Amino acid sequence: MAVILSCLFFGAVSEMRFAPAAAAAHTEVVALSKWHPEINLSHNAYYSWRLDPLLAYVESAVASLWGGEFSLQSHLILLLLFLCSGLYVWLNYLDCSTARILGACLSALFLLFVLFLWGQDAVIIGSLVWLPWLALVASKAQAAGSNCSKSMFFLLLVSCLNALSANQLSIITAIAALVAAAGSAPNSACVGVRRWVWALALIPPFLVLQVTPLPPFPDYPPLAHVVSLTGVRGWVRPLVGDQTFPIDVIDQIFIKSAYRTLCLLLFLAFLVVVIRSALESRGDCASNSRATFFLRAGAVTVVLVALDVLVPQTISVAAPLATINRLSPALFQLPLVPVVLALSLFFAVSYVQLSRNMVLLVMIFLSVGFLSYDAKAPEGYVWRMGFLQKKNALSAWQDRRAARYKHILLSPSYSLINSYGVSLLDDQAIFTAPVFRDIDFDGVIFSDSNGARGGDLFRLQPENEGKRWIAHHGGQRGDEWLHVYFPKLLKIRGVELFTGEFKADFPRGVEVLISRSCVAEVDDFGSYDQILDMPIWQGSVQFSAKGYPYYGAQAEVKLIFPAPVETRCLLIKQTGHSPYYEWSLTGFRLLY
Amino acid sequence: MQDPKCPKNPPGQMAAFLFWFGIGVSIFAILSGTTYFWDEAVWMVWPAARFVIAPAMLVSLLAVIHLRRNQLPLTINVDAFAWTLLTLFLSDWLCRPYNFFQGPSIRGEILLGAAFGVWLLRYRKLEVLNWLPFIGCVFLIISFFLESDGRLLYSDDHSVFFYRLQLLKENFPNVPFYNPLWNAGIHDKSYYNTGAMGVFLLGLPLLSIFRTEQVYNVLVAGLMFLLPPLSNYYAAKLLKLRAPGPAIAAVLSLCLGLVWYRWGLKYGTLGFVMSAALMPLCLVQVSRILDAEVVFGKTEAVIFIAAATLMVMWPLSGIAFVPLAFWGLFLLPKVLKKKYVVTIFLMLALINLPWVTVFFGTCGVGDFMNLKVKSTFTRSEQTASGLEHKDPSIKRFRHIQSSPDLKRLIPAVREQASSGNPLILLFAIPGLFLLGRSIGRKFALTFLWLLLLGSVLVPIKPQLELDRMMTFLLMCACLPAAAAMEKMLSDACLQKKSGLSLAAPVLTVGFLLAGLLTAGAVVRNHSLEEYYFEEGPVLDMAQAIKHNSGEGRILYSGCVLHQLNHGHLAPLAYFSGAPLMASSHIHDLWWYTSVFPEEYKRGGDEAIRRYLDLYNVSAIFSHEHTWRDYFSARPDEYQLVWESQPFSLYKRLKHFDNYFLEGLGEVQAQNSSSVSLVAHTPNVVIKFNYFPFLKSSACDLSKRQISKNVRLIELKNCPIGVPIVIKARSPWERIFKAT
Repeated sequence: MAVILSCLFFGAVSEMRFAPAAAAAHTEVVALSKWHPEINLSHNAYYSWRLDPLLAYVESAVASLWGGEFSLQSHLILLLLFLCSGLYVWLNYLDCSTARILGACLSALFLLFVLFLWGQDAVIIGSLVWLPWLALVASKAQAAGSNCSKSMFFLLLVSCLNALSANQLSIITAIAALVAAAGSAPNSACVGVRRWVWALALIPPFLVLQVTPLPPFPDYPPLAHVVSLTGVRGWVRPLVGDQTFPIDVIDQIFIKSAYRTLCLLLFLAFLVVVIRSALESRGDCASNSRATFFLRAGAVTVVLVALDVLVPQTISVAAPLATINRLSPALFQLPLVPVVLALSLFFAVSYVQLSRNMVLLVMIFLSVGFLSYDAKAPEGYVWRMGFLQKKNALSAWQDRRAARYKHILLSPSYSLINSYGVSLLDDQAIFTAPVFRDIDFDGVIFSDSNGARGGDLFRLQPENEGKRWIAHHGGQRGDEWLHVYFPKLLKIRGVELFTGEFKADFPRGVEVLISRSCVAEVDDFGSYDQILDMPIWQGSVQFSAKGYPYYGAQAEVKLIFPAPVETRCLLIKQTGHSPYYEWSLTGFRLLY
Repeated sequence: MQDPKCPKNPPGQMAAFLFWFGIGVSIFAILSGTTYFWDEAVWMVWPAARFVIAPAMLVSLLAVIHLRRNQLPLTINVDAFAWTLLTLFLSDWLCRPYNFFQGPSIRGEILLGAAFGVWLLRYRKLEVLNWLPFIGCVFLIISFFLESDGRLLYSDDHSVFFYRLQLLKENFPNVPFYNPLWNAGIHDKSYYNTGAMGVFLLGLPLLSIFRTEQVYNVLVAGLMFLLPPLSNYYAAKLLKLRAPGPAIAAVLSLCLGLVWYRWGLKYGTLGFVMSAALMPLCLVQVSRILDAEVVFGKTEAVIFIAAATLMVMWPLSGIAFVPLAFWGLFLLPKVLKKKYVVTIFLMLALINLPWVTVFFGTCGVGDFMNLKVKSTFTRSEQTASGLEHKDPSIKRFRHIQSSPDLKRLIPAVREQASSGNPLILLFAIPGLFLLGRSIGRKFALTFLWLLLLGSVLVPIKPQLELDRMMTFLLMCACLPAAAAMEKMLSDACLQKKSGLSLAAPVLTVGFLLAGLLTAGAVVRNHSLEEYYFEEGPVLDMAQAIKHNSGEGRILYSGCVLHQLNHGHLAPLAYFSGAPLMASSHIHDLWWYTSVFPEEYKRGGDEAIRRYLDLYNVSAIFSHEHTWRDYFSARPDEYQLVWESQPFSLYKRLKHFDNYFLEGLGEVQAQNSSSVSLVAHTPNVVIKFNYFPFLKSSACDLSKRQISKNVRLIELKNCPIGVPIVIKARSPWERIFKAT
């Protein structure tokens, strides 16, 4: 079933083109089995990863027999095979009284969920592949007791395989496997044996955490940022160890927005089923208690994710997942939300196998379905990236200039480059030292959302340095705008909204529209063309000494257009929100 | 079954809780000032402390009235302070800059620790906490050495302290001495006032076997991560705190706050650090001496003699015991009757009087105490090159001199508290009541005195930097805080608390565990108090000095403070072996001070040249653009021979090395305490600074006043061709000669 599903999935792409969730410098399995830097194209995590070196060795040996090469896709198919078969064996171990078809269906469904949600994400797949096997051997080792060295051997073996495959995330999947093992046979072993099982399962992942290297980090200045600012004070980083980045790399805002809906739906699904099962009581007590255990385990994992994605960042930064993430510098390279959400699905299918209660399964199915509907992904997208990945994540990586700038794309600057376009790297000189000039106010007519027609907009003239134009709202509501009419057509490349001393008055979101044919006083901007849209203003793009772009201070509002434009009118919209700071500027300059 | 000794709900418990909660919240309000919920710019909880103190005190008052009416005792309720801690946890305290616990993310680690606390209390495994000091010490020591990665600690005064230890190694016990390697001869005397002597004696076993640079980091690690927990643990044992009280006290000493690591790792005031580490132990032992009912043991007496000696080797620490000294005077007859007390006093006198005599007799203590300290700069004192120190007799320090001001109390306390561990700040108060009446009163008196010294009385003598007394206070407060926390946790176990009643105790455990992690982060340089190791520029500069000094001296133009690898120039004389000159090679300047005296600075090129010749300067380091431009503009006189940001080294082209201003001879050697020369004429004037305590092995030594600020050594009737050694008289010679 897994083979068929995998082939169907990977084969459904009209062009057999590798579309990774993460980017790496190589695509060959052997090269990828050594530690190498990767960048996740959606949440921008920049981390060290390697494919299972043992498996890669076996694959290369097998491939050499037929004179071919194992591709990454084939490797992923193999992993999915292991995962699916492991899950099948695990589910039947949990409850073999039912027909095996249920275990097979649940395994296939789990695989489907993973592929739909995360696509060909080698990190997710690699993290999950040995999870059911580890849970199985751990459970058997607990049941066998301390006398069975064979069980202990297999436990250690699978734990090592898990560590090799899941790398720094193996500690999370190992803990989940142990929880599953505890739930599968809670009364079987004494505490002493359980300690041995826990030790054998956790030591290899712990060792991997110590050896995981930090990928080479670009030369960003200390106050730079490359992803959306979360508003959380201070530098959030692991307290222990020094192998950590000097700036935030993971796009927490994206993770929240991408996982919010699904997490909420899953939370409601689990809540309903938990309440329902608490009210109802089933006849088979042993099965019920185990089923309830997995239901609760799934609910707990969803709650952990919910505490990360459904609450403001200033609270979620202290939530359990974020805290566990910070316990190890190696673990801190990757967000835990995706893998923990996947674990909730694992617990869910385990529960369904034991309880034969399809309600949860149906609700999960509906949730995923709703997500896929809501996502409005372009055709063919789902077969590449998964619904939880960023919709346009591949655009920079698939740009025709990507090969030239691979070393820069494969860095924490990827998210920034992807939002601006690879042309940003071609125009580095313009971004590095843009020369904005004061405009000739003669004949220029300003108007704004306050209804002012010239009025206090004279403050933007250079002789009124220090005085400011302000969108009087007592905050930023997202509906403020400033319109500029030039007496003649101008060719410009950018505009600077100089904040002067009022550094906190930068626009929280900005959109720039132009029109070649317009009038000085206009109320309807429907015919205007959008040339720049930044829903969250991050700051002006600057470049490090080695050419890596980053966002500078937000107070410096230098909007550089993707290309020079000819325009008669310029409409600058403030599209963000701030309850405390108004949008104002003390100077208006253009980049020619 | 409930322990009858620990009834779950004794009568009056709620009233007692409310009373102490009112006190706790008032203390928190005073320390916190304006307070927001969770983070700044969320919701303001109270705009000022007074809005909270009044209702809180009212609640306390009502609680007391209720207890009095019902004739119930007012028992100590530590839980009330734990709930205050919960209030602190929910406030923006953890999100303020320079807070020891850097929020808001640290709340996660605290909650994780609290989860561990649930297990501890639920399964009554408090004995696990006994391992914490050991784990904490090992963790911090490993973190420190991982961070150092084989590099020498060189942050701020660490460079100077390292040099002082090296000089002590070369010159002990003849301290102070004459050091010709810096500034053509200085009176090198800062070994007693800085506590360097104490650190040297403590580290003598290591220093005598290994090179100073090999063991310096080890000494620092020992002072920062071993001595405080050992001292507090033993002190807690003396106070008979039940387990895990001593362990908690030891852990708290490792998590004192950011201020502790600022003084220890960043500033490098190791004498102060050693003194602070030993203060709790000494305070407990002095309190026990003054307690007629306490019997002193032989081991305790020996330990007290050693600890007290090392502690007072940072002399200012003695001032902390003034109240107890007066207390002891009233009880003198009873105190002297106690076993070993007379022996202790005699031994302390025997060991310490000699160095104290030397310190007061040779190091100008009186002059330092009576220094003129200017309170503000006038406009005319500000020059184009910045604020410059015109009159060297008027000193300026970190604090401004003025009369004691009670208004300083709260701001000073807030400033110190913001970097301190909230566990100590909140639990020390109830802990004082748990130490026993006698000890508790002595502790309370000392704490009050330290509080006044460190806040209100600071402006009286700014040169003493009395604000450091607050750090003493924090360190000593670990003991009562540990007593309170032990009681709370033990009661929670005994009473088998569960549910909401466990919230505050487990949060306390969370703070305790998170404190160690946070301390580790500080040691790994993940805080605002960054400290530095030697990265290469110091040794590179030493090499450049070796290659370019020739037979003369190298001078640092302008004013150098922390430009060299975030530390001072002092150890360069050791690393290079060459004589050097600078405005100051240690941290005794608070304002810009040029190396050239006034009379030479204003005289143009000729005067500069004359000064450089006067001191036999063969090359000059420059790091300020004005001086760099000056030397670069005279290529016929100065040649750029070495450069490493921000320093450039210029060799003097038209200079002949000669240490003799008048007469003929040659200087054979200079080391950290003497000059050896051979005179070819009977009368010579050498280019070394004169001091009255100098002596010559063969000539008549006197002063030759060259200019207002320059006094050189004149030697008369010197034997020709015979090696002559010039060095300082021994300290005892100087004292007896003076008397």
